[in-house]
Parts: sequence; structure tokens; C-alpha cells
Amino acid sequence: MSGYLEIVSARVRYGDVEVLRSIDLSVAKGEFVALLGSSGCGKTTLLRAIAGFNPLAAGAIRVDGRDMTRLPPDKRGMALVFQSYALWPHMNVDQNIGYGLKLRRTPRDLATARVTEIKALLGLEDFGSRKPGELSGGQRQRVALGRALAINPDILLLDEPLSNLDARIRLTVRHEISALQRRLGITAVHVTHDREEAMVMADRIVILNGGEIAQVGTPTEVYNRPNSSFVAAFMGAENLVDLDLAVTADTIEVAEGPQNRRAVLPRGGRSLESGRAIARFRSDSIRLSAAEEPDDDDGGLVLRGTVGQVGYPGGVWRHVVHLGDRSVMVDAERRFENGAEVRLHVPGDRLYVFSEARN
Amino acid sequence: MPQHLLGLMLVTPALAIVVLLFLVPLASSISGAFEVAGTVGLGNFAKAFELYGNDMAFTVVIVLSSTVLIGLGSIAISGYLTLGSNPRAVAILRWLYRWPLFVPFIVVGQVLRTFLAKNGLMNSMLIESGLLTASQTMSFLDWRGIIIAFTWKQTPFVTLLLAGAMASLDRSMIESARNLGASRPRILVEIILPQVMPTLMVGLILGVVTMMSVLSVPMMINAQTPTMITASMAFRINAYGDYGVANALGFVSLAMTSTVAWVYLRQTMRDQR
Repeated sequence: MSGYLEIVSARVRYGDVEVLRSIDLSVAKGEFVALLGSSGCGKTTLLRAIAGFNPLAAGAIRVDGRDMTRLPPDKRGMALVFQSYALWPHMNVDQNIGYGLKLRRTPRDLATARVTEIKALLGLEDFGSRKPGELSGGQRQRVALGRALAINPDILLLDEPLSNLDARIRLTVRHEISALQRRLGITAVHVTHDREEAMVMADRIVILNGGEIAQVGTPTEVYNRPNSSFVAAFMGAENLVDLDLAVTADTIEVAEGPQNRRAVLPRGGRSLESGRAIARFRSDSIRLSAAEEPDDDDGGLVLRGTVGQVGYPGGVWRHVVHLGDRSVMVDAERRFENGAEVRLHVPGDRLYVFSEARN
Repeated sequence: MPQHLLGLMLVTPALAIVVLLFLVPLASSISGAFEVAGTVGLGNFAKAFELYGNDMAFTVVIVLSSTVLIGLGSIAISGYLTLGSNPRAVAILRWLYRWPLFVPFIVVGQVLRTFLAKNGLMNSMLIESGLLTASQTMSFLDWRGIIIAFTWKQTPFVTLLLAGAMASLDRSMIESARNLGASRPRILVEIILPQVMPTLMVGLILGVVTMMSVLSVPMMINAQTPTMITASMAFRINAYGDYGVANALGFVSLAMTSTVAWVYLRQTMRDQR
């Protein structure tokens, strides 16, 4: 892919600690990329490095072929929306949105027109003379977005812009932001720790772990074809079982184990080695049946366990099932009582298998 | 015992101290200012304005000019502490700027006396460096000396308050301005200062009150007339035992500081509305 924003072997150090280790990333023009990871993975550091607030110890950042590595934040054609919004409390909405234009010495009538346009875009028409203290969280968030968009940046950088909103507003603002980004065709890099937020907003997701990129892909790729146990777990496949594999050209043979039956699964191009492996699966991708019911083998992996706990989070029953010394979460339409012996049927394509040596 | 009586008893010692040691002497000074030969009148004030009118004007000019300089100095120092990009320079400045806080006014007067005199250290250095000849030197031991002393001594205090207020601002407010292309001076003036203005005002008003009470600096540096109101008051009492005029001068000085406080309070009330 021809990159519009290119990050090449970027490293960032805080003192002796290397926070980012050789990040390579290419973002196409008009693309919406989410940087996803848990706290401390380096996602905000990467965003701030792109914005020019964290100097690179090594590597380069290019936009449209131009080297930006040593340029100050305001010369990069990027606008950053801060997690705390960072609105200036002594200025009203118009002044906040128009400040970037004032700094660029935009003639007053043009600046006023641009501020009006931005306010209309974000539904802030009635709030021009209000101070940030008089706005709700969602409105402040839109003012921060408007302030960034007013200067017509090439790239919009968003640092967890939704994390300060309450859960219900967050859902609508997600769609507002991604719709706006598509309408304006602006290139956007969005930092978040919320998997679902990244999935619904982004064209492509970059999963970071310990200062390195763990996987890059479209939402469906990272969700359905995680390349490591870490990514699988991060994308919600928290359930973990140990297996013994014999790998051939196009099958994976799972040996009979203390908790599982023998199974033969299609390999599906996965790079695996024979021997000990770990497998992950999601709580909602499993069929649960009682051990005494007649068995209908549907080709996946079958695990045997005992129900340890049942709860109702809504829609389905959530069971904690003990598989030997490991426990997994399983959702089912019907309720299985504590202590019930159950079978877990995991479809082959919903089971993410990784050789132990590689993880 | 009823609840409210118990409460009153608890507060009595503190109240008594305030009343006996502060309110009573204040009231007696104020009433003393209006007492002429056993009757109430404005004689003391007439005499005070006639004899020390120049000193009053001198005091106002000195205090206002010092306040302006203190304000500018503290904005510059705390601005650099907040926005400075050279960590070593910031650390050195942070370590250095507080020193004058721990030097008493009388010592400041003493130090500046030897530094600013016609044959003092400053002029000797200027002559040594060839910038001035001995005939061109002049003494700064007049109104300029007082302003230098006040500014040197009070700037760190206001800076301490101001730098604290700036440090507690959300850093991302500064970064968002930088992101849009604001230079450091613009960030200081347009983003930071408006948000720390109340703190700056409090610092400057406390500075005004302190300068209005300092006797040692004008006595040591400016041994001539006109001089500051504090020196005139001390002179009136020590040389003539004239408490009436001294009280009138005290009343004028209180009126000056009260005016400043009143203007400030009115301003904050308006801002909060």
C-alpha cells in the first residue's frame, strides 16, 4: 500500500526505558487507523510521536513523502484532539475553534465564516458564546474536534477522545466521528483501549503490546485471524486450553487429552508446529451440551468440564466451566446448574491455536 | 448548657486575641487620627497632607512602579519555568529565584547600599569593565534604589505563587496551543496568563501591602526627602512624639491598601458572576 503517513523504524525512549521499539506503520490517505492496546503499551506515545510532542530516538516520520521527523508540532499539518479536550476555559467556543485561524492570521471575515461552518458541521451553532465550563462533556468533545478541524489539517490525531464521555453518549459520538471523518475524507489516527470502539470506527486496527506492533489488520482480520495468543486474548478470546498437536500439510490433529477428545481440524494455512500448543476461543462461539445428552460430533474440538458458576448478564447465561485446573467462560441459551457435567463444542474456525514455542 | 453558649465559649480565646491585640489598637489609632487637643477634628490630616503630601505621592509612585516591575519579573520567571525547553536552565532558575525570599528587608537595604552607592560595587564594576569613567558614575541611592530593593525582594514571592498556579494547569492546554502553532510568548500571554490572573493579582496585592509596611528599605537607601510614608511616620513619633499626625499618616496608608483590596475584590466578584 502506498503510504500517506509513513512511520519507519520509529523508536522512542523515556530516559533509559525504550517505550517504542522499532515501529513500522503505513497509513493511506483518507484511512482511519486505530491504535489499540492496554495502558502502557505505547499507543499514546506513538500518537504523540507522530504529532511531534515526543522526539524519536531513531527512525523517521513522513507525510506524503516529506520528512517530518524533526519538525515542530505545528509544521506537520496535523491536529491533535486531546483526551482531556484541553479547551481553554477563558475563551468561548468561537474563540477556541478560531484560535488556530487567529494564529495563522486568517482575515477576520474568512475566520468567522470558517468557525460558523465548523459549528454547523458539529451541531454547535447555538453555543458560540458559551465558555467550556458551560458545556456538557459531549459538547466539549465536539468543540475540541472543531478546534482541530478548523485549521484544515491533513491528518487528524485523536487521543482517546471518547474515554471521558459516559457510556451512552460514547456510542453515538463514535458514529458521529467516523461519519465525519469519512465525509471530510481526512486521514485519522485514533488511540483507544476500547476494542469495540476500534472495531466499529477504524478501517484498520494496529494492536500494540509492550512498545511493539503485535498485529495490523482490518477489524475482521484481527478478530478472526489473530496472529498471536496475545492478540487473540485482547480481541476477546480469553478462554485458554492446552493441547497436543500433530500438524500435517493441511490438517491439525489434536491428540486426546485429559479434558478434550481427539479431533482433526483443517489447518487453514496457519503456521504451526507439532507438539504442545495453546488454544484460545471466545465465550460466545461455543455450543454447550450436557454430558449425558446424545453426542453429535460436528467436527470441532470437544472439551469436557464441570459447571462451577452461572450468572445472567442479559440475553444469555454465562457459565464458568472448570476444565481440570483451568476455567473458561461459556455463554449458552439455556442454563446449566452448578456441578453439571458438560461438553463444549468449539468449531474449528473459532479455535485460535498457537504453538507453545512461539508464544 | 445550651449548645450555642458552648460554641461561644470555645471561640472566646481566639476572639479575645483578635479583639484585644488587633481591633482595639486599630480603633484607637484610627480615632487618634481624628483627635486634636481632646476634640474630634481633621487637624492631624491637614498637617499630614501639608507636611507629607509629597511623601504620599512618592509612596504611591514607588509602590506602583515596583508592583509593575514585580509583575513583569514574576511572569517572565514563572513563564520560563513552565515553558522553558532547556531542562538545565529551568532547574538552575528554579533553584536560584527563591533566594531573596529568605533575606530580610533590612539586609536587602544593607546589601544594596554597598552595591548602588556612587563608589559602590556596581559602579566599580562598570568602571573596571570600561563602560563608565569615574566622573560618569552616579548614586542609585534614591527612589531608584527603593524600587530595585522592592522588586528584588518581592518578585520571588509572587513568582512562587504564580509558578505554582501555572504548574497546576493541564499541560495539554499548552500542547494544544503549540499544536495549532502558537509561539511560547503567545502561549504565555494568551493561554496561561488569563488562567492564572487571579493568583497574580493576589500576589501583587500582598506585595503592595508588604511594601507599604517596610520601614528599613527607605530608611537605609533613601536618606533624603521625599521619602516613603513609613519613614515619615517613624520620624513623626521618634522625633516629635506626635502620635496624632503619625496616626493620620497610618490612616492614609491603610486607605491606600484598602483601595487596592477593594478594587481587587470588586473585580473578582464581577468575574464570578
